[in-house]
Parts: sequence; C-alpha cells; structure tokens
Amino acid sequence: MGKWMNPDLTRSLEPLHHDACGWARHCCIGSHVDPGDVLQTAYLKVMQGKARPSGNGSLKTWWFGVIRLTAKEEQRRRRFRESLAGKLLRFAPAGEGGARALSRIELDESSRELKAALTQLPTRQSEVLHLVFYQDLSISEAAVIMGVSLGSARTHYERGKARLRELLSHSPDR
Amino acid sequence: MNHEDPTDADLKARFTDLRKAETSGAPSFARTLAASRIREARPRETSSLRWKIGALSAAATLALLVVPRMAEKTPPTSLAKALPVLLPRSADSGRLFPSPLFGESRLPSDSVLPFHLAFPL
Repeated sequence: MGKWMNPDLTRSLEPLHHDACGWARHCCIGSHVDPGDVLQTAYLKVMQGKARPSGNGSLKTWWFGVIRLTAKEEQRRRRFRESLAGKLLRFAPAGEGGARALSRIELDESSRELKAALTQLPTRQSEVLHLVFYQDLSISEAAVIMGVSLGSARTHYERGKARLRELLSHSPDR
Repeated sequence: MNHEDPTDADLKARFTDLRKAETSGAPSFARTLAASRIREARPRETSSLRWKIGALSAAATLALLVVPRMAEKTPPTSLAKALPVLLPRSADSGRLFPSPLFGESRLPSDSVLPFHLAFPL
C-alpha cells in the first residue's frame, strides 16, 4: 500500500466530490470508459502526489482539470487495448465490471434527452456547457479547465448553446 | 454565474434536473477513496504494458544491431562458384573451339586444314 502523500489535499477535495462525479461522468460521455474508474484514478494521482495544485486558479478548476486529463488518458488506454496492437499484446477488455456504480443512474426522459444531445455536440462545446450550466462555473473558469483561451471558450459556449437548443427542439417530446 | 441571458433559463433548468438526478445516485467520497486505495494495491496494468513495450523495443533494437553485423561477417557467395564450368581446365580434356592452326590435330578430323598442311591419306 502506497503512502498518502497529501492527506490534507485529499480531504479538501471532499466538498467537491459530487461535482467531481458529475464532471467525470460528463468527461466519459459517448465513450466506453467508466467514470468511476476515472474518478478513482484521479484520486489515486492525488494520493500518490502525482497531481498537485499549481497555485494558479481555484482548487476546483485544478481538480476538474486533473479529472479531464485522467479521462482522456483512460480513453486513449481503452482505444489502445481495443486496437490491433493491444490485442496482439493480449490485453483484457478494459473496465468490465469495475466501478460501474457511477454510471448506473436512472434518469428521467428529459435528462436522457439532454445527455443524448450533449453526446452529439463537439467535445469542447459540450464541456463548456456542462461547466457553465451544470457546475455553475464562469466561462473563464471553464476555459482554465479546458486549457483553452477565454475567447475560444466563449465561442464554444455560444455555438454549443445554439446547437444544443436546436437538438433539443428536435427531440421526440417537443 | 455567467449565463445572464434570460433565454438560457430553459437550458439551466434542464441541467439542474440532470444534476439532481446524478447527485442522488453518486457514490460517497469515502467509498470512492476506498476503491482508489484498492486500485493502488492492485498490480498496475500500465506497468505490465511498459514491460511488454520495453521487451518488444529491446528485441527490435537487438535485431537491428545484430542482423547487419551478421550479414557483414558472412561473405557473399561468389557468382563464379555458382555457375557451371564451361571451359575445361586441363589440356587433355580438349578445347571447345580447337583452332586448326594451333590446336592438337587428330585424324580423322572434320576440321578443314589449310592447304599447305594438306597431306595425302
């Protein structure tokens, strides 16, 4: 068992846990990666001292950035396992029967439609919309998490809103 | 909050509903941390991946280094050795194209002798 490199930091992430769950879920939207796996790996990075806040920005923006990068790593890993090279190296299929609790949630029709519409948006657009509307962050905070400029984040936000409305207006219950 | 546009209220309401539904079903912080600790204790798959990639790279590098040197040490086979000998090496075995002037004449021969060497049979 490894050492807890930074227990204070780990404890300070507790108030952000539910938001982090939502963000991890969003980062895995449209992929076969399990958000529970992503979140656990992100916590593990903090425990092992592999992820430390840089001091720039808030704890939330830093933590969300870690989760986002971890999700991308897990997606790359998954793609590799499913690729020919991964099969040649005899990797077992990833994430089956792992931390599925995070992805096993009953949603109502409206929420399912929203999630389905979000999967159809480009990644940047859906990310900024989630961060602003779901996480109640500002566009500049979303830009920090996404690693893009404020102007770019604004553009993604405006285009994403317009596209999301269009998609939701075509949904069956409307 | 930066979505001051009143027309964004519909989107906000939808996201709020989604958030409520997801928050109610989220695992607790303690449970997630416990799962992370278990994950930490588990042998990392990435380490085995690194080993596999390392072994493959080492094998490829070794092959790249050894194969050209082996090729250098093994002299190329002479083409002349591979070809059949067309010309006889000993004088006794005769010549393929005996010259009427300098060749060893044995009678009867169907070679045409020059006139000054003609002799009656």
